[in-house]
Amino acid sequence: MRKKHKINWPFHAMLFPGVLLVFVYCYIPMAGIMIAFQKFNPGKGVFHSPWVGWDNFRFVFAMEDTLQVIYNTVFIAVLKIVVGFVVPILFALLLNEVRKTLFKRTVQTLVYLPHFMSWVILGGILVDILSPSNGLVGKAISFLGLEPVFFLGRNDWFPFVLVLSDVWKEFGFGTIVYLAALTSINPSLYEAAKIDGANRWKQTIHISIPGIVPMIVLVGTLSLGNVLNAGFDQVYNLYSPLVYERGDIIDTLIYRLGLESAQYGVATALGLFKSLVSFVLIATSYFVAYRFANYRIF
Amino acid sequence: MYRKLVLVGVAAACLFVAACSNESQEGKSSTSTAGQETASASSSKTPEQDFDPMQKYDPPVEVTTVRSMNPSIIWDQGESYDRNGVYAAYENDLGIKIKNLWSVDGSQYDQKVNIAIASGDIPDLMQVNSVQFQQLLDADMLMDIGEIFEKYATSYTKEYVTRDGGGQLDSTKINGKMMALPYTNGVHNDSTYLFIRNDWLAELGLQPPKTMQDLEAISTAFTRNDPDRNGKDDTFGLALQKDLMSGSLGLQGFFNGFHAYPNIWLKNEAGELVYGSIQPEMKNALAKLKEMYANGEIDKEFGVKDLAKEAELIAQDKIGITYGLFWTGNYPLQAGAVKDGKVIQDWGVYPIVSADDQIAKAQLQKSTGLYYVVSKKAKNPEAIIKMYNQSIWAMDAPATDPNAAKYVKGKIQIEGGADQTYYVLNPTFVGKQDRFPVVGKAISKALAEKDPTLLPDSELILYDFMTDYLNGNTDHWGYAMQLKQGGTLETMYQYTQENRFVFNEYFGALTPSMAEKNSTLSKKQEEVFTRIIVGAAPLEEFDSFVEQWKSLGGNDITKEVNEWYQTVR
Repeated sequence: MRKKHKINWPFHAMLFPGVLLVFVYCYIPMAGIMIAFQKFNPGKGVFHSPWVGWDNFRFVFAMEDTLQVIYNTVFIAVLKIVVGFVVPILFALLLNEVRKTLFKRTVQTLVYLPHFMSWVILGGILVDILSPSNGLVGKAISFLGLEPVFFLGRNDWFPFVLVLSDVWKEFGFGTIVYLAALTSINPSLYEAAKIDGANRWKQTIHISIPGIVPMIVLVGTLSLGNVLNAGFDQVYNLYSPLVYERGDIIDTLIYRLGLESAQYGVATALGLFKSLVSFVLIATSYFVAYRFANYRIF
Repeated sequence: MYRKLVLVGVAAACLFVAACSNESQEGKSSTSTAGQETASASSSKTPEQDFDPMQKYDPPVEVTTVRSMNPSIIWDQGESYDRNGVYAAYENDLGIKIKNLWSVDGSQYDQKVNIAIASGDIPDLMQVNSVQFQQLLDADMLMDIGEIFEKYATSYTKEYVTRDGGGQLDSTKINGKMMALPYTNGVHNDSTYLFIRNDWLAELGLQPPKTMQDLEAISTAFTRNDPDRNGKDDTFGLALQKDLMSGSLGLQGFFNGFHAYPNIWLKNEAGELVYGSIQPEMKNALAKLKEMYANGEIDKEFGVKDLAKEAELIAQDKIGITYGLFWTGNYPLQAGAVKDGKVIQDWGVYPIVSADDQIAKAQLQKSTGLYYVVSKKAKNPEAIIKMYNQSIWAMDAPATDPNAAKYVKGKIQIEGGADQTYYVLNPTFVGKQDRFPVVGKAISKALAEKDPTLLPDSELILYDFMTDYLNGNTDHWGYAMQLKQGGTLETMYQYTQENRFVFNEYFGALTPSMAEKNSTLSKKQEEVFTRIIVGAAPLEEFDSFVEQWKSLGGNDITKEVNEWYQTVR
């Protein structure tokens, strides 16, 4: 026992700066959730603002919009999680079959690029591309003889535009994770399979996919915590009064409450509610992953 | 949204002032103006003389403040926000050492002030917005400066900050106590004007609009009759962006034409305050907009476009009418109107038009929403009043006065160099409330008679911009839209003469219900109005919006606003 500790101490030391950062920036600010139970005034501070019990929560759930907003959030986020979960896996498997290294690397880099662009920029680009009168997509639809759709201005389309554009932006990043997992599969397995007469399809089913299952479970588990994260940056840059009905999400509501109307207490209460639900979801999904996939993160 | 608009407005106003401090000509007539009295700061007076509010401190006292940094300042060598000619002038003339506790980039200023408020450690003097002002009041961190203002503010300062009739000064008084110095600015700056393509009018043989009916006819003609003669049906009448209530490329002026005044509080016949957005006049205006949108006179996609995006259409010769503020010529119209040094779009400026026989009035705010607050713990609050006096005097003094120039210009500029915008270094800088109507009144005559002395000395740069433009410098086209005969400034003066303004009667801080309900109510309003215009909702939805507005907290707000109104009446 003692000997093992001796070997491990440099690793623990290396861990220390990271733990410290998390502690300072993630744990200490948690004290701020007190604000959710106060009529917070920055001048009086956390310690002298009057306590109001559950009033902020009552206010949040008495607000007309709240239920619709929660529904929108879950709807958009779940779609994003599902599509954003499947696409990178498929793409990584396909890309893995490509023989030409140059082609493979080029594609990999290209699909990875949008990840680095901010939604402020992409928002402007999407407004142009999706314009029904002179955008690329609008032109293409009219070329097919159909009526162009005002994607960003219609409540029925808006959530799907959010999902598709988000997946387009992020799937390259997800792909890289799976590609890395695929390269770590022992090549001798493939050789053995080939000798046994397995074709590429069988190799994929029986070697590649099982090889990356731990990664799939890990990514899936972590993403479940995002069920209430519909993506503030994206929605804030793309939504408009026309699509408030289906596009307004918890985070944009918090933003308007907290930063535009300075109702810090109410905004914190809503944020705390969101965090609690996410916490329960993460805990559950971790438990599920542990029980059924026998996978442990820790 | 509204705050953003104000910011843009303030920024534009600053541009102006910046421009004004750009004077480098010599030999201007140095007519003395009021306010010279305060220049006596540097001359010592004997105790037996009358009380001198501007007496120099000996030994010097320290005043702490915090600054929002303006990146466009060109510094004299070795100078910075913490050590510069303006601060040195305050120390030499008044014996006031100004110490910056911190200075940050403008975009982070609000946040940093919030942190300062939260930590309970605020400087003697700082500039805050109305939300922060209210928080500081609630936390009892501010000093009641009524008495010392009365005692130390010069008569010139008192006159200067009440040229708007007193609204901006009144907005600093809470329950009768003066809790801040007003950040004054041009009170008429938010009034709106019509900008119309004169070349399109001529092409289609149309006359400028006198009434809303004329305007509708022009809008229809611009949409249908191919005013740019390119053979394509690709033009719109009226420009519109997603921020409907914006002054620039928004509908404020349009609503005002229907005597509807969204987002402000009006006095009704019973003498009570009512909210403009829910009055029946709004419905008439929305009905007309709905019709125009259905007719294709408004960009179908305005709902997702912000000002810059919609302005692209104007630059592409697709839109012929827009409502705008006095500086809309500078931004965004200039970018499309002038290409390669040539003016390719001919825009005319017109007063807003009315839908009936009543004259159309432009809506305005009484308060600027910005304040200079003094900490309760400040040791020398009267020093701050002295600084306030000094900055007002210096900004308004003739450009040739070397004593005043120290507060407005850096060394480079005094010696005849680049524009330095040194005036922003004054920690108590305020704008002139009647500035633009004064220019508007005199500019045409000054240009016709080639006599710049008809303008106030501090405005000569505008005269130079205009003569420059008339001599072929199209860079100043945007200024020409303000300064030309019938330009926005002359129209603004005309507005003041005909009293074509409706003021927001409410200029107090946020009431408790406003703080709670505003975000829900304004979202509802934006959503309903936009949906009615684009036809996603029937016009009748306006009526249910009014009911919802009332039941979702509007009634509470109305009650609180009227309670407040009783205290100021």
